[in-house]
Amino acid sequence: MRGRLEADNLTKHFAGLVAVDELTLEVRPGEIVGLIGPNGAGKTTFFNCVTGLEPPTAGRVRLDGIDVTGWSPAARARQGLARTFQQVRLFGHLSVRENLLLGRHQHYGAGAVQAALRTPRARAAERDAAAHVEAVAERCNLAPVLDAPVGDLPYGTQRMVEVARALATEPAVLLLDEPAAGMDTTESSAFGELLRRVHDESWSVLLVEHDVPLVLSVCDRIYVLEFGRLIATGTPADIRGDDRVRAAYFGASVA
Amino acid sequence: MSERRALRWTGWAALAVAAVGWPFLLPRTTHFYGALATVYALVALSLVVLSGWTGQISLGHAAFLGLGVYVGQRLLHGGVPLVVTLPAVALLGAAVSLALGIPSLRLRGVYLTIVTLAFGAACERWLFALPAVRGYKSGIVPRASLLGFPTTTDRGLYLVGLAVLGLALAVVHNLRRSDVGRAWFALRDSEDAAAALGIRVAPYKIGAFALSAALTTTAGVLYGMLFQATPGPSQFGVLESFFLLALPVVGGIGSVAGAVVGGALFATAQPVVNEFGVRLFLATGVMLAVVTLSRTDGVVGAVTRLVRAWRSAGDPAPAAYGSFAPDAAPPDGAERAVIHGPPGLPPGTRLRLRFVVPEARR
Repeated sequence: MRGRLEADNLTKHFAGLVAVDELTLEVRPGEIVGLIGPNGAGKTTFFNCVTGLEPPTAGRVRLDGIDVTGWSPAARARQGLARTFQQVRLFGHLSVRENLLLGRHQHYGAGAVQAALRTPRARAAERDAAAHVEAVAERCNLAPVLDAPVGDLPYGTQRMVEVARALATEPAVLLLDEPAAGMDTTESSAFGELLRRVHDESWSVLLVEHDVPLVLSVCDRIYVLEFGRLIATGTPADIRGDDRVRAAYFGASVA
Repeated sequence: MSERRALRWTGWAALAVAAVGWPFLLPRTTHFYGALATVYALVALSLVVLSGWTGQISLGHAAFLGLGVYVGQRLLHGGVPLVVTLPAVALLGAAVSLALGIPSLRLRGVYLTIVTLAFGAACERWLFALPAVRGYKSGIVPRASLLGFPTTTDRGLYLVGLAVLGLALAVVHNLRRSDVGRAWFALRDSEDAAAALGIRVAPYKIGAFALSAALTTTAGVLYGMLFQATPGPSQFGVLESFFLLALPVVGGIGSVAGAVVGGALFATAQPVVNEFGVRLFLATGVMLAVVTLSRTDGVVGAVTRLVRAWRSAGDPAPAAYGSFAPDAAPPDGAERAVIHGPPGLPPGTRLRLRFVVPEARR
């Protein structure tokens, strides 16, 4: 089974500020796990440490038992760690189809020289990638927009293209960085439904999110972060009833 | 074979016949400009790859052109056949670009531009002035034949240039349609997003630079043969790199076709501007300003836009994805409703809609 992501005592300091404090977290194969917390809780810092954009001060990150702590983002991606960005980062000069084809980069069966000469092997590689992309697009309901320029799509659809592009890499773990940011409540619940629909047991999800209703509705398990520390872990039902979570989220503002 | 495909192949065949055939119909004085066009188109193609696709700017491309001229002249003088000289000079250009690129491309942003600026200045002031490279006297570049095909006439040189250009166009076009071309565009738009897909950013940037340098140094060999003399180092200075960058920008820097159009346009511009008594540099500036202000991708971009507008004239505007545009006008008194469904409803999804006509309109 692929899809186990472990953060082990992950710590990140910024000039005296402890952004993430000995955070231990596990995503098991096939799970959808949520990481929530108020603004400034350290969610984004944690995300950056896991994806390799920032080195952690201490602690390890393991993907399917392999220690990837010092690895570059691209090397982690090739090991099966896919991600989306808080601000959608599609390749604006390319069509939806070409964006998804780039998701097949790691599995592309021909090198640059073969591509330049368009050898039979290069043609086969292009055909295989195209067929896979068609299937992913079908699964994510993107088939009707495959040939559209990405800039012409509504925001929610762009978000889905980014998820589909990550899925085309055949990831073990998909990391979603605040996918509901910039969405209204209707859009974020529609996104949650789509995520549940395309998800299957062969890959797992870590959803780092500010939108509590979305996380409660799609996740199997949830971690709650406050000031860089874990304050609660459990199923959506546990989290909904947890007093500390209520305090962290609603404490000051409601009273 | 479908009718459309047959039509396309006929078009390409006609274009090929025209490209090979025109020098046999037009007077000999025009052949020089044809040969110059193949050289310019090669340079423009190299910049389409580097600037148009990977978004990197080189101010050393005139120096690469000069490198091709001087080294090509040495090799041809030494009796090396043209068929060996061309790839050898291409490899040299790629090797020099790797030496420049590997230290700078690992960094982001304008570092390549700065390094190529320094390279261009160093070549102009120092390298190309070395007696071993050019010397202060102009050298005569022999017009060697390619596999027995003579280049002593401008027409012969044009046809050889056309063959080299055709090969380069095929290679670049193939790359564009493959994973390599897509990766180039990806790292131009977002290096982080490209890396997140497992793309090794640095080798792709360096690869584009090396291919670009190889194409331009190859063009240099033909450029030297065309003039049959080695121009002075000032012909390959930093300012000239700006002129070379104008070729694909005016032609259309986003496409392979733009390189050909830009090359042909600038090769034939000299006699045209002479007619009007205008300096080519001034005409170039005006063309650049027009392209920039028109916000199209050069001549090719403008033509594509016109063809699209002409084709879609009369067609209804395409419905935006994720919304259902009502076909018929609403009955009197009803508001026009546009319903935005969740993105990507599968075909056959049943929707229940309720329409209410307001009782009184304010």
